[in-house]
Amino acid sequence: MSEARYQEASVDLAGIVQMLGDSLYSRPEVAVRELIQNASDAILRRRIELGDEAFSPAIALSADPGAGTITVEDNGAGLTDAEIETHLARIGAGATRGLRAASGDLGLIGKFGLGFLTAYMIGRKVELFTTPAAAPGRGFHFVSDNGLRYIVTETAPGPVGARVVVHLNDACRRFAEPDRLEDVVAGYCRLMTTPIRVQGGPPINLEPPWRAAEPGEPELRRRRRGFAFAERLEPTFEPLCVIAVDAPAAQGLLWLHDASTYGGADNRWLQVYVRGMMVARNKRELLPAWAGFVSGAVESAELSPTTSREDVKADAAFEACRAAVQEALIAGLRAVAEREPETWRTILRRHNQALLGAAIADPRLFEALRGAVTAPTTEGDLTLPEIARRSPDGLVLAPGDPGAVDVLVARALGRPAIYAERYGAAAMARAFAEAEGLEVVEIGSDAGRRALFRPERPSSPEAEARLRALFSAEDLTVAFARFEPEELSCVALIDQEQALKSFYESDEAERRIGAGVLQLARSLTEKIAPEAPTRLVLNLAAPLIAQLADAATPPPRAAAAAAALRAHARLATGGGAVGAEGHRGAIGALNAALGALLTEGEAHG
Amino acid sequence: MAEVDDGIWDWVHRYIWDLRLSDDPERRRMAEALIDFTSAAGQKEAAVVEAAYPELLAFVRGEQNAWAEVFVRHWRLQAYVHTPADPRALTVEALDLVQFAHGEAARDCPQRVCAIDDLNALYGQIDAVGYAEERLNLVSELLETTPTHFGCFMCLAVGKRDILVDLGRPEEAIECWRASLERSELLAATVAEADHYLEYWAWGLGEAHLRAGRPDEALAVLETCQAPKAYHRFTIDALSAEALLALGRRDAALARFKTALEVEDDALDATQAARLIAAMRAAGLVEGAEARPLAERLLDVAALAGGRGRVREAFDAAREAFELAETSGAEALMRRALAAMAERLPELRAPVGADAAHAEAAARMGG
Repeated sequence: MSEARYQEASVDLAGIVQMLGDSLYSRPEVAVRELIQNASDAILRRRIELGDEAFSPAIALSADPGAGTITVEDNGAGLTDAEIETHLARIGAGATRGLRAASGDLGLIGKFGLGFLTAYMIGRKVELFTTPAAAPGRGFHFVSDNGLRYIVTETAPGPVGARVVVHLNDACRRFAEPDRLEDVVAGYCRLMTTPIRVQGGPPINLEPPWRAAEPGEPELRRRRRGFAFAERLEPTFEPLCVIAVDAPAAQGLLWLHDASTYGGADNRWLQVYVRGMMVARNKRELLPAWAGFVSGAVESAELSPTTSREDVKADAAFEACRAAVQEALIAGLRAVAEREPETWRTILRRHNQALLGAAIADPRLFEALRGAVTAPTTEGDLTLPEIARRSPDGLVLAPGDPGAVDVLVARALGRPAIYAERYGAAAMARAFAEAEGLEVVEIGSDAGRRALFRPERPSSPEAEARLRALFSAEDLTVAFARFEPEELSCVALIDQEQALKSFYESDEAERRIGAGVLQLARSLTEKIAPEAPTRLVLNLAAPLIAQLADAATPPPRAAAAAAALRAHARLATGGGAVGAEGHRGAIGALNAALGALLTEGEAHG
Repeated sequence: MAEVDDGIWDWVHRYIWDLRLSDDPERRRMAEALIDFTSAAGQKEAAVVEAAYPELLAFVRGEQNAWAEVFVRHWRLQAYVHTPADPRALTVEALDLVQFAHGEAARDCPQRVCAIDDLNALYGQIDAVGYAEERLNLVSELLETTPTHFGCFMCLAVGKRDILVDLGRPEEAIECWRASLERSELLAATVAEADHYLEYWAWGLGEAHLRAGRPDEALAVLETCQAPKAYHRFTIDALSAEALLALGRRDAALARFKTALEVEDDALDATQAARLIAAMRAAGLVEGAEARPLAERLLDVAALAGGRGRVREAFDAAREAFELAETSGAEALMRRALAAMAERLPELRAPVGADAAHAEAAARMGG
C-alpha cells in the first residue's frame, strides 16, 4: 500500500485574474481605482513606516493613446527588490495587510492583497519603476505579462516612489483616452485627500463640505459650498436645498431634487465613500424608502467595503449609517420648513405627493407636514386643515371608482371630497383625522353611508305610513334618514350585503361557483334578512318629503311626484338600482311621472 | 430538475414587465408600486398596503384589467388573513371578490383560487371550529382542481392541515401534509420555496404533532419556525409551552408560558391562550393568587376578540376565564365570564360543544 503524501495545490493565476474580471469586479475600470489605491497606501506607508512627514504627497496619472498605455505615478514609499518579491509577486500578501496588522487601521484603503493583480485585467503587460524611500540610491524595474512570471532588474534610481505602466490589452485601450481616464479617476477618487493629477492638469480632488466646514462660518457660505458640491456630483437633477449629515456613523451631504416628481417615484441616489474612495455608486437603501426625491453622498470610516470594494456590507455599521442619514434628512426637512420658507414652499410644490408618503412613514415628519401638504379634492388641492375647516362633520374620502350617487352626494354636500386613489392621500387624511379627532367618511362604503345618511324615523307612525305608501315599489326597501343637502329628497343605495345575498343564493351562482365555496358563502348570506337589494332613502330634512309626510290627505299630484323622485333616484345611482327594466325602463318611469304631473295640472286648471 | 412553470405568477410577471417597459412614467411607477404592495402584503404590513391600495385599484380598473383587479384585491386581503385583524369587515369584500373573480371579465384568472382561499381564511378567523366542516369541503374541492405546481397548492394544503387539527383529527392532518409535500411539484423544484413553507407554516404541523400526542416531535418542528410578528411568536411560544409540559419539563414549560404571555393582548390568539392556560392550570402551575389576574386578562382578551368578530376565540377565552375565576373563588368574575360566554353563543356558526360548556358553567354557578 503506497504512503500518503502531502501535495501542494497549484494556482492557476490566469484563472484567478479571469475570475477577478468575471466575478469579483463588475467593471474593468476598477483596476485604475486599485492602482490609485495602491499609490495612496504607498504614500501612507512612507509617512507611517518611514516617519517621513516632510514630503508633499502626489499621485499623477497619464494616458498615451498612441502607445496604448496608462501610467500611475506616486511619491510614496516605493518598493525594494525584497518587497517586490514579498508583496508584489506573492499573490494575496499585499503590503497594506501586514502594515494594517502591525499598526492598526490608519486610513489604509487596501486590505486583501488583490489590488495589483487587477492590472492584468486590463493590461497585457505591466511595468513598475520604483525607487524605495528606504534605499533612495537604488532603483528597480519589474515587468510581467501575466503576473506569474516576471523579471526584476536593478536600474538607476529615480525620484522616490513608484511608476506603474500598464500596457492595455485591446479590449481596454479606451482607458488610454485622457478624457476617459479622467472621468474614471474623478468618479472614484475625487474625495481623496492626496492630490491626484491627470495629464498634468490641476488636481481632480474635491473637498467635500463635511471636511471643509469651519466652525462659526456663515450659513450662506456653508450652503453655497454644499450646492457647488451637489452640482458636481448629481447626475440628473439640480439641487433645491442641501442638508448636512454629521454623525459619528457617517458624514455627508443630502440634497433635494429641483424637479417635480410624482407620488412614489423612486429617484433616490446616494454615493458612499470610505476614506475618500467611492465604494458604492448608488446605495439608495441608505435613504428612507419615501425619499425618492433625495440624492446625496456620505462618507464613513466605519463601513466595511466588500472584497471588490464596489459595495458595502450590510452590517451594524451600515445600519448605523442608515439611521444617521434618516435622522439628518428628517431634521433637515424640519429645519428648512422653519428657517427657509421660500425654499419650503418650492419643496411643497415640487414634491407634495412624495411628502404625503413621507408624512405617513414617520411621525416627526407627520407633525412637520400635517399643516403644509395638500391633498387632491373635488375642490382642488387643499391643505388638510382647510379641508377640515370646510368639513366640520368629518373628512370625506371619495374612492377612485365611486358610485354615481356617491359623487352626487359629495358634490351636493358642498364639502371637498379627497380623491382617495391618489398616492398617499387616503392614508394621510386618515392619519390627520385621527390626530385631530375627526371622523372620516368614505363615500360608497357602508360605514360612510351610515355617516352621511343618518337613520331617523318619521315624526309619527301616520307620516311613515304615508311615505311608505307613496314611495314603495316591489324591488325597493324604503328607509328614512336625515342628511345634507336638504334639496336632495331621496337617494337610492345599493345594499352590498343584499346584492351578495341575491347573487350567492341564485341559480347563476350555482352554475359559476363550486359547491364548497357556495356552502361557505351561503352560511353567511343566510343570516342576512332578505330585503330588496336597493334601498330608497327618504330625506326627512327635505321640504318635499316633509310636505308629503305631513299632509293628512295626499296632495293631488303626490303619487306622480313620488314616482318622479323615485325614478330620478334610481337613475342617479345606476347599476342594479335602475330596476329590472333597466335604464330605459327607469327613464320611462320618470317620463310617465312627469307626464302625470302635467296632466293632473291641466285637469286642475 | 424540471423547470417550474408557475402559471399563477407567470402572467403577473409579464404584466409587471410590460409596465416597466412602458414609455409612460406613470405605468413604470405602477410596476414598482405593485411589487412593493405585494411584498408589504406578504409581510402583513397593513398600513403600507392601505396607503397604496386605492391608487393601485383605481389604476387596474382604469385599464379595465380584471385579472389585475383580482390580483390587487386578493393581495390587499392577504395583509389581513392569518393575522389578529377583524375578519368581519373584510368578509363582505372577500365575498364580493369571489363573485367578481367568477364573472365574465375575470374568466380563467389563476388568482381566483387565491380569492376563494382568502374567504376560507377569514371564516376561520371568525369561528375556526364552527366553520371547519364547510372550510374542509371548500379546501378539499380546491385541492383537487389546483395544479400541483402552483404555489397556492401548498397554501391550500396548509389550510387543510390546520382545519383537520381544528376538527380534532391531527393524525389525518399530518398525513395530509406529508402527501401534499410529495405531490407539490413546486417544492420538488425549488428549495427556497420549500424552506419558505417549512419555516413559515410549520407551526401548524407542530400543533398537529402536539395534539397527536407527540410533544417531542412538536418541539422539534416548532424550533424551526420563523416568527416575524408578535402573534407568530405567541403561537410558537404557546405551543412550545404545551409541548414542554406534556414532556414533563415543568420549569421550562412555565418559563415559556410566561414568555408567551408577555405579548400585548391584541397579539394573542385567544383560543390558544385559553388552551395553554387550561393545560397549565390542570398541571397545577396556575393557582391561587395568579388565577384571578389571569381571569381578568382573559376577559379583556375575550372582549377584544369579540369586538373584532373573532367569536370563537372570544368564547374560548371567556370559558377559561370562568374556570380560573372559579379556581380563585371570584364569583363576580365567574358571572362576568358566564355572561361573556352567553353573549358569544348565538354568534357561533355551530356550537361544537360551546352550548354544553355554557350550560355546565351556568349550572355550577347556580349550584
